Amino acid sequence: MNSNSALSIEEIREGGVCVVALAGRIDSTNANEVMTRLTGLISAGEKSIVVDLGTVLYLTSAAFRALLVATDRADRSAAKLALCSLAGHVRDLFEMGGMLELFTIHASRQDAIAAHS
Amino acid sequence: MPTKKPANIIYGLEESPPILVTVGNGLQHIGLIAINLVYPLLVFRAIDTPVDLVTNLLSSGMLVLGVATFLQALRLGPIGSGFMCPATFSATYLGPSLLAAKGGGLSLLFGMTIFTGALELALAPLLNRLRAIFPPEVSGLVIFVIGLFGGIAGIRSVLGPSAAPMLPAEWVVGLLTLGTMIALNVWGKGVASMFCALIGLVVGYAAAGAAGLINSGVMSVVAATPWVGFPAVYFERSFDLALVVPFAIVSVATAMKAAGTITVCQKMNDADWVRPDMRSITAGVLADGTSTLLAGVAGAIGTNTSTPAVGLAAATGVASRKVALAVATMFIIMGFSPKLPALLAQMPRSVMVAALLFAVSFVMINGLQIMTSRLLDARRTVIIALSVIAGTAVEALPSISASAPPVLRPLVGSSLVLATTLALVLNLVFRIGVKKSARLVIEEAAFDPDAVAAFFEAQGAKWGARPDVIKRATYGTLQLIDAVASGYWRDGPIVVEVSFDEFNLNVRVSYNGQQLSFPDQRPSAQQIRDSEDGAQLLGGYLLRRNADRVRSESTEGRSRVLFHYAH
Repeated sequence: MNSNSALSIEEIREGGVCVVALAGRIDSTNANEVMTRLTGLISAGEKSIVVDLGTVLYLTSAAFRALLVATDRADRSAAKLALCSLAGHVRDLFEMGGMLELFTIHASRQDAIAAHS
Repeated sequence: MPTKKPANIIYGLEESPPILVTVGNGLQHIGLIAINLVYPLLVFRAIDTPVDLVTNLLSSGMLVLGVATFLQALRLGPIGSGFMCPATFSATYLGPSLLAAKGGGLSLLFGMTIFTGALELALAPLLNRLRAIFPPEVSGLVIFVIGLFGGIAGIRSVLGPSAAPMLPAEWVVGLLTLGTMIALNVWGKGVASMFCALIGLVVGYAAAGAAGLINSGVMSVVAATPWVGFPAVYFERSFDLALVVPFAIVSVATAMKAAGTITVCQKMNDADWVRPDMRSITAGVLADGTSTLLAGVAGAIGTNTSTPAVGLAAATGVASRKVALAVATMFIIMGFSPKLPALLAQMPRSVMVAALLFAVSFVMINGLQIMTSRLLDARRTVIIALSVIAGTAVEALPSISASAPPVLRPLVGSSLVLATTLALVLNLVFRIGVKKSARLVIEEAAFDPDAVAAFFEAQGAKWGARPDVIKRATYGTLQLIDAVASGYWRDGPIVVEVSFDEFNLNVRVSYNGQQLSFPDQRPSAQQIRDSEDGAQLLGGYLLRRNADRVRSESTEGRSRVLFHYAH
């Protein structure tokens, strides 16, 4: 597979919170990569994770599954995992799939960090 | 299905506002709708209906509006959308109603109104199909010419060859009424702007009284009218085949307008709104048709959903069904109180025409907005321009109708009928060769999501398809390929075939392998998490929600999925 909208994952620490910024598309070809990265952070003892979806182009059901698995793992490990910056098409997809109620979602990265700090 | 209340709505559909809020909002809606009483009034006046009968008919009309608003708000079996969407008399009926009244009196007017309501009931389940025949440039044109020719009918009633000459005082009163409405609408704020039409009517009545245009005899008739009374039903009904076409056009136009208003209600009440829900639209149009049928039975002109009232609900954030029930109750109380209809029945003609011109201005612009919601290419330009010119020519040159062969008279005898028929015919002619198609073959080893997106984008631009529909179709295709990629797609290429005409975008995806399921309900979070099958179930659910229609079939190991997107 070749693509110029490939997934990129960036990890930044801001205000004691681990921000994982995702960009590009997330589908079955790379959803495991997202899941492994997030569950790895939780296994390593990370207690506050914010996943920034602000520059994600679109996500498929495989991506939703990855985010649900990571959220569940966080709950079991007494960690907090939230999503932020859902905009445009990505927000529409969350609404369409009835996924908004399954995650903790903040409007912006700043709001998410403030809530987690 | 329960919906999520948007942030700007203070009292949602199922919520109960405090009684003062409910009554206050109800009164605002009544104020907004009141101006449309000018339409039946104009029709009754055009054939010199006696004042006491006009009072009686206006009372019946108010009862009809009350029942219609109840029918829309309450879901009685298949009838009623359940929304706060009050009914009103509509300019759409004005032209054909005048034709019927002048041709065969009240009995023909009410008979044809019953026919229109019955036809709207029959059309309700077919609305989706009608979109192809009535694209925005045609439905917008119909609304535009209804406003334009409605205004001309009003002007003719005071300045036409058979009208009594306008007195200088009448000009002053008319201009003052219209000026008040316009000034409050343009520069007024809050309540003044919202009640501009009602305040204009009051100013008009006061000015007409001061100018001596309302004689003391009239006022004593109003004073003698009791506060409580029951309107008598006007029993005669008749039917004229020659009027079927204009009333059928009205029936389609009102059905489409009701569908549009119900769609606005859906969006207003659901933060997660994705696309029109045809079930509630059909139920809403059934209520609208029933109301018009009842109007014909009770002795009124046809009714339609009030778009400005829904706009008011959005502006105030009060969309509660309780407000609709309050509005309906107020109409029914007014229907049993002949004092107000008696006063309205005496409306001086200068005030009435001013109110009509104000009301039809908004109808015309609404039509203009619908027409221009699509790019006006050469085809649409010709449809709109020629139809408006043809309709206007009939208004300006009555000799066209008089000299036409008898067989063509029903067509060229009415500006609305000629303009609409010409637009319909031109639209059908121009649809020849409109359907376009394209094909993309994705080899197993070379699936590139960006290439799929680029294919849809390029075709969409070439065909002039709406970007939001192309985006949904792109996502649907990518999500389907993503879901079938693990375990369902066996071997060989995936073929994506896209066909487009102005109203439909169909995407057919076929592959060798197992069928995906498309559940109606979202799988639970646990189901999604537990295995990759959960992701595929969610994929199927997303695909069902993403398209307007999904059909899936499998023969001899080849699966085909058809996504339909309304355009």
